[in-house]
Amino acid sequence: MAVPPNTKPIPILKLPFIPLNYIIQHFNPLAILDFSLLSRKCRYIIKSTNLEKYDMGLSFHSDQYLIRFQRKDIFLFYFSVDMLRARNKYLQTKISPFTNNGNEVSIEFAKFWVNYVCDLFRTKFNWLFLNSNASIEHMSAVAEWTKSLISECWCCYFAGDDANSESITRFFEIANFPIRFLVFDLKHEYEIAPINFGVLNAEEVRIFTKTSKNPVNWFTVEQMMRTNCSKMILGACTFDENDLNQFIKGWINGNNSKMEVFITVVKTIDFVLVFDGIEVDVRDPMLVRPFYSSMLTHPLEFLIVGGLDIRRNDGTVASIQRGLEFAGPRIMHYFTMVVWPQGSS
Amino acid sequence: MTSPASSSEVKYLIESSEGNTFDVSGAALRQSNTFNAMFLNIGADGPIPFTDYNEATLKKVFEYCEHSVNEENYSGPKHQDDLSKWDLNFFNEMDQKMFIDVINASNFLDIERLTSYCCERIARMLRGKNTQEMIKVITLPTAEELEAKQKVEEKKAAAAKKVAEKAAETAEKTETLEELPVQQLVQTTRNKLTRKYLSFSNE
Repeated sequence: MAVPPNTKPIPILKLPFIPLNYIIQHFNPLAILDFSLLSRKCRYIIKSTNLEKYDMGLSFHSDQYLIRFQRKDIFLFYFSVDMLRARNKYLQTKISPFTNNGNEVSIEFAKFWVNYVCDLFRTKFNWLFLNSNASIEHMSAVAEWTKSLISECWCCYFAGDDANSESITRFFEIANFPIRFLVFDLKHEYEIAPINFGVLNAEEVRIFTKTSKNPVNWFTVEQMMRTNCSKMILGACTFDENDLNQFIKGWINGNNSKMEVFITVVKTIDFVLVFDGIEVDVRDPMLVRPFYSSMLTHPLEFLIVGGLDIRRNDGTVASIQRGLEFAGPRIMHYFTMVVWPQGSS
Repeated sequence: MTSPASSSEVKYLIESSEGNTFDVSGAALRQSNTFNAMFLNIGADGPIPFTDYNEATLKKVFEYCEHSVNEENYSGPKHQDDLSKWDLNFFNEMDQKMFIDVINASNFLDIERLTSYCCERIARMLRGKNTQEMIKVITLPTAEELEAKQKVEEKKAAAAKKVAEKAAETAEKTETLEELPVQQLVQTTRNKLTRKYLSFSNE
């Protein structure tokens, strides 16, 4: 229903508290921000209103949506750098939104507005969207700041047209908060140096690659074996038979003890070499076993058809199967490993 | 005049700020929690005074109540896009002032559904306006107006100070004057006596 533009006075501040609250509750985040900038009284009214709760995200992506309002992984609204810059004057600040070289969002500007928005919406930030190609200085500054801002990061999302391994490594050296969901959506054209995550403190890891054109070479098996995440879904990777053999042997001996799902895409591999030195139970190819799990907020469901079972020293069983072909240009296939809950296999 | 059992058939007389009265059905009035708490169980003799609200506003409020008599109990805000054609017409007929008046009345009468819909409508009117536009629409004074207001207040304060100083001066004078009647009396008496003496001496 279109409401015609209105310039006639609507003296809502003269309304009683309850209707005024109703009105504010129907505002979108930008209207709330603008209303808060009118006066101290308005800001106080906003802070005493029971506002809708959002998952707040801080973003340094190239879209410059500095503050993002989400509901889990559904993106709802944003305050862009330009929107906030236009409102600097109402808070009597002249902080420039960009660094001196003009390429990166100024941390001071981000801090100023994030503090204001956190205070206004009485919320904390738990999503982080980082530019994978940020400079080391910028990434270090972001890591230092977010270390004190975020106690537990619900989602940390690296994306960009290029990637700077050193910057990302630096981020993980400084920011040691636990991450529920770590995502990499890197579109680098050339090979990049491996990223050192240290002991990766993430629950679920997702690496996107649209095609097999630029397989991930920066996430090594050593790195993978050092993490204790429960789900790892990687796109096209450069893992070979030896890498997978090492990973599976590590799992059997107690590494990646929380692992539930591991999916990656690899070039055509020789399964004999993958399972060299590993005891395998070849299951009936007609046997279909459904496996249920979830990633972020989405359910995951697999059908394990036949496959190969391996057993860990503590008796836990995992199934491995070669999956469908991945999008070209190289011929690559899914490699899926699921760990059955104790007693279910 | 009323009994709780037959309240839906009974008509109540409502009195507006102008002193005018009009009928409203018990069923419509039952949508007001304030009314339920105040009158429905005990009944009302004579017109019910809602004299803080004008007739037009009250009629609008109760028009909505009469219409939504058979609707389900209110269970939270409904999106404006889901409103019926009647509802849309009802809200489209109202101007900003009427919205504010209806919100005030329905808030007092505690008709949550109507308050909420009107508030959503107001929120929609304000959405998309930047801070400067909001200042105008919400009739908040601008920085310049605040400055001008401050200047006027300063002038007023200065004037008040002057008046206070003058008053203090006057008070001081009054204090001296309070002593005057005695002196005056003495002086007058003295003058009179002098005049008398002089008249005697002239004689």
